[in-house]
Amino acid sequence: MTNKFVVEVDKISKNFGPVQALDELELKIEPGLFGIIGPNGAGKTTLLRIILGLIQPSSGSATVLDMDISQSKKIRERIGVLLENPPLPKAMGAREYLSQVIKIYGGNKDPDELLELVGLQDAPNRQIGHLSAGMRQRLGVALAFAGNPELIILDEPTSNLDVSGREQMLDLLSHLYHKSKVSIIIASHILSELERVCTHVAFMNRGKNVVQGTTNDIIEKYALNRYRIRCSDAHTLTQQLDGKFGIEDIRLLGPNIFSFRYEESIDSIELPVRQEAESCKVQIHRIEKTASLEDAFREVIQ
Amino acid sequence: MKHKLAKLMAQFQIEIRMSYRFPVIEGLTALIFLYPIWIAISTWQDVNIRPDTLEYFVYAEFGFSGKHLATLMTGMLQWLPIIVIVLVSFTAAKSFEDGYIQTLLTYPVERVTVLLVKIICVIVIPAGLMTFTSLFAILFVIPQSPLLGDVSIMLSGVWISILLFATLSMLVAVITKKVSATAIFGLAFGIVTPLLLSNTAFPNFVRVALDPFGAAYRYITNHSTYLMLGTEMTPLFDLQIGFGISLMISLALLAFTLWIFTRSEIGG
Repeated sequence: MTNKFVVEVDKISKNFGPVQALDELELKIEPGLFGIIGPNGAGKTTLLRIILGLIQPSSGSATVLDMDISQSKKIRERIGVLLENPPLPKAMGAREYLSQVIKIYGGNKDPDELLELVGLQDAPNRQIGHLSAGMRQRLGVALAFAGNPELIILDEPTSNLDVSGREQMLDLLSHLYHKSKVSIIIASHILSELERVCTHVAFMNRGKNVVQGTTNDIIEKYALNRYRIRCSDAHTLTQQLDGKFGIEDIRLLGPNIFSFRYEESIDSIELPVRQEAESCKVQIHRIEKTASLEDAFREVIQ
Repeated sequence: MKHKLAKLMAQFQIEIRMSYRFPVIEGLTALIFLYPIWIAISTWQDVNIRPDTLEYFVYAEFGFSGKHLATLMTGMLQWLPIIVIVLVSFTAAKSFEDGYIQTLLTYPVERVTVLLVKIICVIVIPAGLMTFTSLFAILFVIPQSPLLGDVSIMLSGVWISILLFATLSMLVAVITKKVSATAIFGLAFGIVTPLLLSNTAFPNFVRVALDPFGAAYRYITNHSTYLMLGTEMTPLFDLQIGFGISLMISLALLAFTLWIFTRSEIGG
């Protein structure tokens, strides 16, 4: 590969009738664990479908592993894909289906090894229709590794999973990346998950790439001066603090939690904030510096 | 070459395991295997007519081939369109509707191959089963009756009809991507076309081209019994031309379906 990017998207637009899903999108994805983040309808899935040749862009061009997206089949020979909630043949056994997909890729991988890799070694003959949602997603990951992929594309890999299923899936992806060193692109709207596993991220909104970079750089740049307060009544305290002490951009995150931006060190206003809380009979449990991808995303999108 | 063949076989394996899972293939086989039993029951009396009777003479002279094959074909006539339409709805339209086609197209496969595998499964499995059971019925139940030409016309009718039904339904499935639309259109075509074509105002070759199996049935029935029934008979030449036209229509529909499928947006 001569290009240092695994995917390069150049001014791609896509319209579905009057709806513009992608708006001259430009994106360069470096090797590694890359997250594409955006709210529902941001255009993430549309972008992935264009990359996979399932749909055609209205304008613009893109390359995947140095190949133009018009060479769809050649691209698919070198990548592995897991779509969101992928429908699989329910009547087939997990191992049976995986074996056939390995043959389609023309590989000679051992299906049992792949099943073991994703933790499905105990259910090789179970019908896909009888697998739990988490197991089906794991099988999907095994299918993505059925060839000899140089790039893995995962669309919402944790959707449909419960909390522990999500944790397990993220651990699995992280483990597979470090073991295989195959670049992985994850499209998701769950920022906390991508923050945990991705080295690089891009924020998408309304069909555009709003910002991209390493996860740490983005947090550093856009969410460095954000703080979070856990208290007994967030609603009352936010009203009390609004416009005081240089506190800006207050966001209510829940009944007992809110965040705000403050350019200086929090130490300088901690005491007056606690006094304000006391005056309105709100108990502060914790004041913490947050600096999460979620904060950065909110900062950028707003 | 070996790799390509293995890849193709894997696609067939998946297709068959997906579309012909229990009880589809079992039901289909049972349905088609009912014919020999039905024929055995309905023709037993005729086959065992005493040789010294006038009735035997008439049947021996004019009737055995057509009468028995016609009985066999009557059963097929009722089920053939329904079987093919159900299969197309199952294999093609359903995979569009539930999104499996999208999963399949993330693997390194050609769209043309994906659709051809589906079409081949829809055509070869029912047509093969019908051919096998028809020959089985002829061999074991009415071995002395059919003329080779009649058998050939019957089997050609089966294959060409299935090809026509399958390609037409597949086109509807690819355009609409809906099981219900495919099933409704297919059934409407399968039921309405023979009714419309019963009007003798249509030229013979048109009637044959759009309803090849029905035409084959009419030909075999009349060809063997026309002396007794005095009814109109489809000329063999019209039958041959009609079969040829039907084949060309099917191939044109197939080419058009492939052309649309390679350009259609999947899951967009």
